[in-house]
Amino acid sequence: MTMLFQGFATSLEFQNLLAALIGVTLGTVAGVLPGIGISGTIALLLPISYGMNTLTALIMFSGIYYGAMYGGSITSILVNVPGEGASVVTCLEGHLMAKRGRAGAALAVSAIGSFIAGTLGVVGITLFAPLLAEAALAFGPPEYFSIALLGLVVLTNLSGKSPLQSFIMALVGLMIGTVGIDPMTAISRFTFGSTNLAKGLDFIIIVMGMFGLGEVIATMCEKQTNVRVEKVKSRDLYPTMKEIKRSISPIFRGGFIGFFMGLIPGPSATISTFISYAVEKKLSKNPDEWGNVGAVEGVAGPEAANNAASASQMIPLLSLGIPFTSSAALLLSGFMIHGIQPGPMLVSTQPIIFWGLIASMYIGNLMCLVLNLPMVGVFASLLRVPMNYLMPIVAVITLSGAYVLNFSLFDLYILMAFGLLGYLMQKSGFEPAPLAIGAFLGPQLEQGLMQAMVICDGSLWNMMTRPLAGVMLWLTVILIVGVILKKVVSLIWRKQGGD
Amino acid sequence: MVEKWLSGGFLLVSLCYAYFATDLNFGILAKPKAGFMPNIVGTLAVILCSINLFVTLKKKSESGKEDGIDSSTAFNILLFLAGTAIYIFALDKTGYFIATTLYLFYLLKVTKTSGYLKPAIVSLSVVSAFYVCFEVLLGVVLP
Amino acid sequence: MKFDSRFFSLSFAFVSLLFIAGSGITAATAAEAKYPIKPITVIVPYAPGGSSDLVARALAKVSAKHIGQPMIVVNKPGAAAQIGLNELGDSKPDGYTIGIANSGMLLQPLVGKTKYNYATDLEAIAMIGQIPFVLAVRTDAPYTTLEEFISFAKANPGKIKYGHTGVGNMAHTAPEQLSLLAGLKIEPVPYDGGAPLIASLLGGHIQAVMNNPVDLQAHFKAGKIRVLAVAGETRIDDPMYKDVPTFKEKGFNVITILWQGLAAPKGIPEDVLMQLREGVEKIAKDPETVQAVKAMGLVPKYMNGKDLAAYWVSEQKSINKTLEDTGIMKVLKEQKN
Repeated sequence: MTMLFQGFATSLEFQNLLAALIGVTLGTVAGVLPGIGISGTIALLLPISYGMNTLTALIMFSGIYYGAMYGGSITSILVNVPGEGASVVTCLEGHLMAKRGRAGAALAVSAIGSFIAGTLGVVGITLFAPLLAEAALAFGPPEYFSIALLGLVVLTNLSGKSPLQSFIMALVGLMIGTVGIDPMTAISRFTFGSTNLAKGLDFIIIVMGMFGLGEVIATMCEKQTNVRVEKVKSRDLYPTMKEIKRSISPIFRGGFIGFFMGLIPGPSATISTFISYAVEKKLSKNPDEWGNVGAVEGVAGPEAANNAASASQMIPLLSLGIPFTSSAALLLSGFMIHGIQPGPMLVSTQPIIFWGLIASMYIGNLMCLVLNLPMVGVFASLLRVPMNYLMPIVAVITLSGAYVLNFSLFDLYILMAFGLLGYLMQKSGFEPAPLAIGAFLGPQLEQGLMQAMVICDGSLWNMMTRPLAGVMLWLTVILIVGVILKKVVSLIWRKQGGD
Repeated sequence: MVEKWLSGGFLLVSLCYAYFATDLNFGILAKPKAGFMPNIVGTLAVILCSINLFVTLKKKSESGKEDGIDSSTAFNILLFLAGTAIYIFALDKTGYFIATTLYLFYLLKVTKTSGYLKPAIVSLSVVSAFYVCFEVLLGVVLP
Repeated sequence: MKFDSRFFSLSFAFVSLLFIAGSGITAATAAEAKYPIKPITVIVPYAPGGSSDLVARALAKVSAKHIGQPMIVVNKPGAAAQIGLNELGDSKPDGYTIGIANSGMLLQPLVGKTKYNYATDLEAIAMIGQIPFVLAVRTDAPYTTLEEFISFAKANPGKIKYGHTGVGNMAHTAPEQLSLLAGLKIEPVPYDGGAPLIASLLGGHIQAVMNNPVDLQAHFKAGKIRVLAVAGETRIDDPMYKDVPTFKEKGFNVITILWQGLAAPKGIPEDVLMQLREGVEKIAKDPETVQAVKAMGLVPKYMNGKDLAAYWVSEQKSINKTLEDTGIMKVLKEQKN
């Protein structure tokens, strides 16, 4: 504890406070602009940080890292353009809320939820970091595979009207995930000899197309073009008491889900948002709001989850020196440049750095909240811009962001194609969310599967008798059998009723 | 209408995928190879897509609801896609600033924004703002 | 007043015209006089945070001091480094675009259709550091020496599973070479990167790893893993590893060395190349670079461009032989029917 206070003392020094402020501000900006992610921003600042004191630089990098989680939800809610994986789910309910004039409420709830969950996450790091790091290692490839599979099945089941169509979408997503050079076997698959396809289809490009451009096409090209979004009054910019009350338990639940998921290797922040969404939808008292007018729980839970996850992802990074995500990897590179090797020895060899960083995360989260809440009004009033201006601008933002992501013009054609697909799917009742989830989880699912098959000597039974993986796999089996049984029973019942 | 076409389209995609997946080696259970998951996914997708197409085609006769796209929408989509394709192509040739400004102006006209001066000013200022944001503040190299 | 402002703006325009013309002239003369007049882009064909990225950034940190211009690190990851390497190969050979070259680039041209054979189609600038691979196991494993490991693996065929970071990768060829020489049956588990690989080793999901010590050193220091042997000609020159024998000492000729260096596109003017090589030599020998390279777990070793080019080609030959001998080449080709 005394170490933590010493940490606070260090991180409250002027230069460190300033660094935290710069970090979270840039992080928020990076989160808002689709395409410019955490990685890009940290990479940009690495050269500038050479002259800085080590702790100051690290505080700045970490600020970018968790600040981006705050900004990410803004474009998702306002214009249905997710800037990164963790804010795809926020699009689903958040944008629906924006459409009925509750954008301010959605934004505010997501900022508050992010703050509460982010702080909870840091408390978790403070208390249990080394312990949890060890626990995270109990998850091996069979477990990654089971988690990915369970997540895929649960989500596919929840969204959309037809489980069959949702499942097909998930499979199409998995197909998309296999395009490109396979990192494990180093051979190119489904590339037809094209170098552009060899690097694979970027998940973010696909969701930006399906959600963002799809929405643009729908609003811009259909006849009722000039229908404006409901006029937003100033007092409607902030959430009502009822909305806040409804968000509190989802925020805490999402926070816990995110925190524990964040410990698992792989893109767990994103998976945790999916799971939180699923949980909230199951628990909701107003199930008819979901996917219809937008349920505030569907924003609060996932947003809390991704912030808690991004905090707990610091645990394996700091106490094992193993980055589980690409943005954590860049953070690690920031540490290494300054001669700090995160790992089991960090707490004992560099206590000032370790605790100073943790203390700065408490302060930084507070800064994020203070920065974001007043902006809610500004962002929400952007929707007052008439549709015939707003939509073309969104199209330009999406295209620019997608270009900046990989500096590839080819990506823009892919974006366009998925925009059209997204529109057509929206028209016909096929759900884009399972496709996105499939494309996202596909690589992890495949890697986990291939590794698990070797580790378990090629026997599924061996995998299903491992304690952690087993539970998840059996749950998956039960879910799938349940859906099929339900369908079969209803068919038989209808036949008999018809006779 | 759209649902039928899409169902068919997805079946076609799955068939192609499953066909090309056979090029990849499945391996054995204890030693899966590059074709392991693609083959499983491809086969499963073909089966499910066939069921879905069947169900969708049948459903049509029951409920008479149309989900078609009318001709003016289709025309607008075509305008949008063509404009975007030309824009992406031009991005490399004329540079970000000019191409994007023209593109935004074009889209504003597609949404039937009245007048010429106002859309032109809007596109110029919005693109300038982006340009400053990306190129100057974030140091990103744009074409 | 009116006159004044017109005069002012006119003269301003004139002065700025002069200024632009002047700067153009100075720029032109400077280009002839001295090569680096603008920052040099360093393409890293891997994601940030990896060893290559760290090397590039360590070099960039001191570059302004030695060649008068900063280096800008650009990450172009994906497609087993081919995206970035192709871009390097395609870039204008004017000395303003260079890239990281390392031992991970040997494999692709041998198996697939790559656009370039990097060993011969790029111009080597210098080697910065190297490190031999090591065989690592968990500290609580029942074997504490290489001999025990080998006898355990012989007694329990298929029981030992080792992780690697891609079929045909050095983390795959090295253990296969060992199992060929020692007559073992150990099973490979593919991973897509160093981080999940090590997490799996620490969690006990796989039993062994042959990898570069860069990723392993923190856990070795913390006593979580044990290093059984080194795949170098000699032991690693670091007190931490002084008790770890080489495979050669134990009678197995397993040599796998990771190296990091810089390369430029082919066709770069001779004098620019010379200046680049000289500048990089100064950067590589800067105490700060040496320190940074050491801190990331590499052994700082400068090798000039000519030597590196020859070494590159010979390494590629030897890895090709290993691929054929161990049957990995066959495995690679088998992935497609």
